Amino acid sequence: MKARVEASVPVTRRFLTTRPVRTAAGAAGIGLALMLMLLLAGLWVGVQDRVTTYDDHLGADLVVVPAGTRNLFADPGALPAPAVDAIAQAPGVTRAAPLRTMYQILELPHGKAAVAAVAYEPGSGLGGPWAFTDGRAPEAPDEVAIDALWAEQHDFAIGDRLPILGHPMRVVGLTDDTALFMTPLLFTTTAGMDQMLRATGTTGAVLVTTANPEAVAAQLRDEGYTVRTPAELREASLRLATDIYGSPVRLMVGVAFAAGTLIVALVAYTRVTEQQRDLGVLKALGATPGRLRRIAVTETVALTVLGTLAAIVLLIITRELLTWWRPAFPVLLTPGTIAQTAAVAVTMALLAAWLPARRLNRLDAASAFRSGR
Amino acid sequence: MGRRFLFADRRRATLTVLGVAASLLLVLVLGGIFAGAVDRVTYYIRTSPADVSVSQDGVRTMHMSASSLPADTPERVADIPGVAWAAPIAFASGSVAGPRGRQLSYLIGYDTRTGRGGPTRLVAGRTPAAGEAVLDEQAAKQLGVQVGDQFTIMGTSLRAVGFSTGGSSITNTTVFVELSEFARIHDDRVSYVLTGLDPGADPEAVTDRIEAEVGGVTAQTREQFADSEARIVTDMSADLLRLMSSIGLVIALAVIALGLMTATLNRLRDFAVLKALGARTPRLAAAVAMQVLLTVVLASTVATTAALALAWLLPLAAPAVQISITTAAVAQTTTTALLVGLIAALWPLRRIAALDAATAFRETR
Repeated sequence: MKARVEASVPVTRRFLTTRPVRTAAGAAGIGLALMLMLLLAGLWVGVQDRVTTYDDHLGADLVVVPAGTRNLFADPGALPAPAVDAIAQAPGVTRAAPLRTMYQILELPHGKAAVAAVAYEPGSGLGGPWAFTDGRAPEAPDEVAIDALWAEQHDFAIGDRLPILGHPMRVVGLTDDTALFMTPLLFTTTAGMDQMLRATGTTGAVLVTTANPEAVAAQLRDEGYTVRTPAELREASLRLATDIYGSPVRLMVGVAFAAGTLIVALVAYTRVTEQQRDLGVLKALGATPGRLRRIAVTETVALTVLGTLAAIVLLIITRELLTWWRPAFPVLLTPGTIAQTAAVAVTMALLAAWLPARRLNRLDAASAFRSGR
Repeated sequence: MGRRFLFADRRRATLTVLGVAASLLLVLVLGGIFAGAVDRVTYYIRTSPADVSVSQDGVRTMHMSASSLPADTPERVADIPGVAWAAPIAFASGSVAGPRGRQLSYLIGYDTRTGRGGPTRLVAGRTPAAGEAVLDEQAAKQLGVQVGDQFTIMGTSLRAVGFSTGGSSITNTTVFVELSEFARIHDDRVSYVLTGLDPGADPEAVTDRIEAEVGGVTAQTREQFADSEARIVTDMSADLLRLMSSIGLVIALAVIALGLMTATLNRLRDFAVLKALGARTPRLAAAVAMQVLLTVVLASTVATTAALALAWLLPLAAPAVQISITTAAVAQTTTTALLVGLIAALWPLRRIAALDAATAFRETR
């Protein structure tokens, strides 16, 4: 019995290897659909990773914000300027520095560009840029540091003038690791931004350092301030990104899943149709409908596995192309994303195998002896 | 002949058409989401009574923007020949919270005596007084706020006295308050000056005059302002749209190529018979092209129908997401898909061109 099993013909493998071009084309089609899903998932992970970049580099233990503010850029609000000194005087506070954050649309010669503008106090060491590819941090009111990738995309270099709110700001630094999704960070001084906004009597937030964050936070709250930790701001940024992009991303993934399932079904169905005569011969030789269905399902699953491998290769190529074309588009792959896509691929394969398997149920053994297709 | 070849195996034809349709749906839906965002983002400007809007020098937009003007700007603009009225509005980004959640919001302070710069249309309630506000109806529903309820904007508690419409987008909603209330919540500022013109005044000439005589300001006609606002979305989303559309179209290309390749390979004997009977290669190529045309047109029809259905259904589940499917978008997607389909047909065409008529008389495949 064992000898018979070992000697059995590997039908599925032979079906797959007899026409390698068609097998490769089918796997490539499946790979493209899965690649799109991986790309969407990777972009989503990348977006989540990038949206918290500034919250992760605040350098502060606590952030005092206007009442109701949860996100530094999306709902900035305003605090009275004297709040900075009042907070600095609070017991336990080692440093306090003003901060103003906002989205801003820049009018460039070739179009509009959205940036996440940060105005910080240069001497405080808080809230400013943390890494440079060239140049330095802004110190004077007319100076600005911009994200290096964004600068390259828009042809800005050190010494160039960048118009912000009608003021020609001088680029003095190119910052690294500051490309948020769609909105790169731009750094300037609070003095410069306050003048441009004609808002010298207010500030956006106050960055606080302390050896005892919990006690200082409690004390500032008692004094009527709204206090957030960097972790809370980070959480709020993630929640905001999910609120805004969540539904469209889910919709796109759903459509990509439908496209992928249809491609797998098309490939699987076409192959079974092509192999109808061969399968008829197998039936004439005594293969049960169950065995034929197993062959069809195994072939579909094998094609999907090949397609999954093709998807990973295609994704690596697409990611390299993206890094060259638009480096600010973050595509991050996590084991979770890959496992999720593999599970989706298996689901697609099983759904898609249903149609050819159903067709095989009705297969007539006599088809093996027909001259035509 | 192309039609018969395509539909000889209906299941395969259906799968091919549906596969292409899913790819085109991806392109249409993504474009539709951004088109919907453009529609919402420009709503306030398009429906504003202002013929000309004045902002800080270098600021041409409202969405994601900050603009600050000297307090005397409205009076100075009102003195310009051709200007009938000038109304200040105060504008800031923040968040609004109700019993059922929280949303990002633009806060607009306007002169409630004239109503200029306020909501275009109230679907419920009345204009706000001190301590009161008008919310967008869609946001109010999501936040669980009824007319008469208290809610919070930028940490300040206000009473909802009316609902406006058209002010909520995928990113944020809009709350209207009186100018003095804005100063209490945020600060005392003039962000933009809305301007009405005398009958017969040339808007472009007046914008030039305002920029020259007031100084430090940008003046735009309603069309220029709306166009500028729309370009925020289009410029920001251009790369993402291009990327996703390219992938969608490459998938469509793969599906058409797979469908055509297998259909052609399975019909090689038929093509050979036709060749043996005297059909020339261009005639056979036309049959393949007809299959592409039929596949793409059918797929485009299915994709457009599905996209319209999604545009109707999605707002029921996610009211902030609006999908706008335009005829231009459908035409552009279909045309691109046709070009892609013809590229996909190159391989079968090459195979048919090289086909030997004697194949018709061979027994095996």
